[in-house]
Amino acid sequence: MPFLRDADLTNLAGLAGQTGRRVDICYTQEPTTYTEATSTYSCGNKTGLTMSALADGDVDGRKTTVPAITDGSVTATQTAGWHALTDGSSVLHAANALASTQSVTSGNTFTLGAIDITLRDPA
Amino acid sequence: MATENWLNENLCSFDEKVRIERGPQIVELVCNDVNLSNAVTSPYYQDGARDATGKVIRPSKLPEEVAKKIDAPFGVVEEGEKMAVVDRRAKHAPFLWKVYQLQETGESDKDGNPISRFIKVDEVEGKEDALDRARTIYQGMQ
Repeated sequence: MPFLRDADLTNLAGLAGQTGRRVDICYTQEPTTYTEATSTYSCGNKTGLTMSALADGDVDGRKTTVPAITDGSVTATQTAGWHALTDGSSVLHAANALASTQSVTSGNTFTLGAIDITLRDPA
Repeated sequence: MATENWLNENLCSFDEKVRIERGPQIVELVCNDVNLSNAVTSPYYQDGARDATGKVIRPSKLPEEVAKKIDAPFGVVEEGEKMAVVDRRAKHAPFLWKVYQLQETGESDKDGNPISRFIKVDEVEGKEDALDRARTIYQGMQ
């Protein structure tokens, strides 16, 4: 995840295991706020996600994982270019560009692979 | 009088019709090695990645076989052109209070119901100015 909120960087353990997380797919621009991520630029979302418990990173460090999404709701016909992780009420945890842009149609579902948020060991 | 509900220290909702939220700005910088360095912009702004408006950054710097596979529906930004980046450390522009108003967008959902979104209508540096602006917009919606 390229953008990760400072408080989550400081305390990744605090994010791990959290319930009620929300992932939005976004269009037009990289969201800079919770409102932009979940409303202004959102073209789909999945709510009620639970972050994994803190675990070893794939290479080193520690990670928590956003579970894969198989049934996200597309709410607008757009070209999605970003995804954003929020607490579902007021906090933007993280945002990132999708690996590739995707045209989505309102009423359809979207899928997204699991997303690791990893803090690497110091170099 | 609107019910002003502070959802956290950076986000205030006025009956979910108007919001103010503090956040970074998207700034335009010349696309070059200096501005793509981690000292100036976030590490994820790099060749082959997308800028804040979706343009692929310097695909010409990528190996040809990689560049050919790049998906760039929003276009590309090459050396010397302007790229958009989120200034998350306020190195180039201060954080602002963004004022959003709930508006119908002309879009419809799958059932034909109109979609409303919080659309940014203003942004100001001071919290009190943002609150004043939001209160004025809210009053205008009554």
